[in-house]
Amino acid sequence: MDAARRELVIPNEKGLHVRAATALARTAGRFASQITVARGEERVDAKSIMGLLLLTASQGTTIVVEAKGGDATEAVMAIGELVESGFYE
Amino acid sequence: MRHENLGIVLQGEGVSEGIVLGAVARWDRHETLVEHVRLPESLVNAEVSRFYEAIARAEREIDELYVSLAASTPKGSPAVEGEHLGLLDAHKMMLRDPSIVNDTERYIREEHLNAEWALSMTLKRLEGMFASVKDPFFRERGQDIHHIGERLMQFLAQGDDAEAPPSPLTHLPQGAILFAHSLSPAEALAASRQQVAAFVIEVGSTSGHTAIIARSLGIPAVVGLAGAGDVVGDGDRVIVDGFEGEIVVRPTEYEEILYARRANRAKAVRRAVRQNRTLPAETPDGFSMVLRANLDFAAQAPQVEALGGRGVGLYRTEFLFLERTGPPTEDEQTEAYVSVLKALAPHPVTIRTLDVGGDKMIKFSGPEHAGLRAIRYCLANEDLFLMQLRALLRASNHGELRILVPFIASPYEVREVRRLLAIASEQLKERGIRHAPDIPVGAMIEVPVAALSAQQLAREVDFFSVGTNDLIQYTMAVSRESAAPDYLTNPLQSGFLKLLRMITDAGHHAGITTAICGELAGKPWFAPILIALGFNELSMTPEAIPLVKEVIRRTPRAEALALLQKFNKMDAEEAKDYLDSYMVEHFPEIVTPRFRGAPHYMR
Repeated sequence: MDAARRELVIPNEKGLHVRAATALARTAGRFASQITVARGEERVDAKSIMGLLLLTASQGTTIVVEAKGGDATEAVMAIGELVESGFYE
Repeated sequence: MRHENLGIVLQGEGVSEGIVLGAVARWDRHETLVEHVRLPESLVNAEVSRFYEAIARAEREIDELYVSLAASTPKGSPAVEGEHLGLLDAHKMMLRDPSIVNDTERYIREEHLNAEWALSMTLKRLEGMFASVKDPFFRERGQDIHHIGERLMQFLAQGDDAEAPPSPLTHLPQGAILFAHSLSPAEALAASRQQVAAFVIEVGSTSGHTAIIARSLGIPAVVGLAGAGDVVGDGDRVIVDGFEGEIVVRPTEYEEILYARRANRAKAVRRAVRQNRTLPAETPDGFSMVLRANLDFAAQAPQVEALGGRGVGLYRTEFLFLERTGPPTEDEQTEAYVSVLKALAPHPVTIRTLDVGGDKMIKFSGPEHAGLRAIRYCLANEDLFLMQLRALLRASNHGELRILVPFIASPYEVREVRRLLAIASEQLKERGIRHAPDIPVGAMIEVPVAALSAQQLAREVDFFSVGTNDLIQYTMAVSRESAAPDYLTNPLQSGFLKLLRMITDAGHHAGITTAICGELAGKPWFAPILIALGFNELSMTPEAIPLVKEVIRRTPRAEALALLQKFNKMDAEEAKDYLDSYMVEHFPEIVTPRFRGAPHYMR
């Protein structure tokens, strides 16, 4: 089993709001691995928009993405790309 | 709350511009009754399937909505269109969100709850989590859960055989004003497709989806009217003013007349924006003025030009200093000043030096300066002031800078500023930094003694800019904190007009620009007075520019002078009434009538 981890800073003005959370959950949903996103102590399922919204990650917040499973590395890479692009906004 | 003779005026938040009068179609949400049943083991699997079937139906509904919306929305606003399509997209994904699906399924399987009960427990827990979020921007998303849950409940209640429950809001009368406690995105879209005339929503905010949809489709909307549900009935006539965020329920005839004038005003604003944008602010008899904007952020710059303004007459710098424990660095300040100068180039930008003290305290100021405000504070804190002057000089290379010094009371202060500017320039030279030559330095006239000494001051500065708010307060001895009765803030007091005249006379005599940057500069009804007094530049909030320009372009200076002449023989209240009726006669479409407190001339 593969595992991957990456720290990311939310770059876009609106933070991890509805559209960004939807995009992240959808990206995470493409992978079989178990993926979590954490902000400090709080950790949520990356495939859950609700969970991501509850992180209330505004611009500049550091989040940690962790994945476990066959495609963990690819999953973290894809999510990293999405976040760093500012969710293509 | 019923009155015989008056409509009920409610103040909410205008989230989409426009004003309409129409009949209310009230959309009341009926909470679906949740049954609580413990299931026998044998029915558990079927119950889980029933739950997923409800989800699948809700998904299909959103798909259909998505398709019909994409087809019916006119092309040309892709960004906005994308915005609400995006919301639908999010809702569709939320239907299968693990936080909803997993818990609900677990409640059914492990606790043997029926699907409705299991779902309602899941939703309550989630809504509770959102309710405790501090950031209102995220907290608001709790509404989404509520809407999704409600729709799922309706599909569950419908049973196996029936078609989808009747989609809400399918039979609105055309041109109705939709009144609801809250609306889901699907409901707001369904309503907009039936050409509702306006939205009135009890809850909600500017970032809510109804607001977004209303703005994108140009439908007036007012939200945040808690308790409105108690006074608004189905079929009631209601005025909805999305500019002012007001609604009037069951308006009187008189209020309907006011409404018509407000509606005309809205049209006049749009027309003025369209027609006057590129035209000069010049009276029919050739007296020319320059209209500039009061700005707080460089990001507002495009608005200035779009509304027909030229440059900035007042850029405040306090925001750089407030809410922090130490002063901003020279580089930080330079960057802020450069960005606003660049954004407005080639037009001038008047940057006001630090105006703190009084009601605006900075956290790092020592107690020994607690009583000093603006330039008095800066002269007592030379190092801090020198840093700001250096930043301003450095920024002067990037645009047309003017420096405005607030709260000037004496020519001595101006001389001190010039001395410190020379020192700042020397300090930069030692670092090999050059700056633009001959940067105009102006005095803000807001202390009565400065107006009285205007002739002496005019010899020391390159321009005047009148801060009317403070000038009238200090002249009339009213405080900023407490509300003063109208007669004390009436700018037509002869003594106050005399002060303004002293300022413009001194300015004209010395050949320097005389500007005004207080609130009065942006009041269309006061423009004739400013024309008569001969102000060269008016600086105001950008939104005020089109209408003030409209008044200037239609008021001959000779007529304005005659008007001012008449005021010599009137007391301030008579003068106000006279000016009000003059404006109503000449600019009926521009004056905003108030629903509450009829103006003198209509009493």
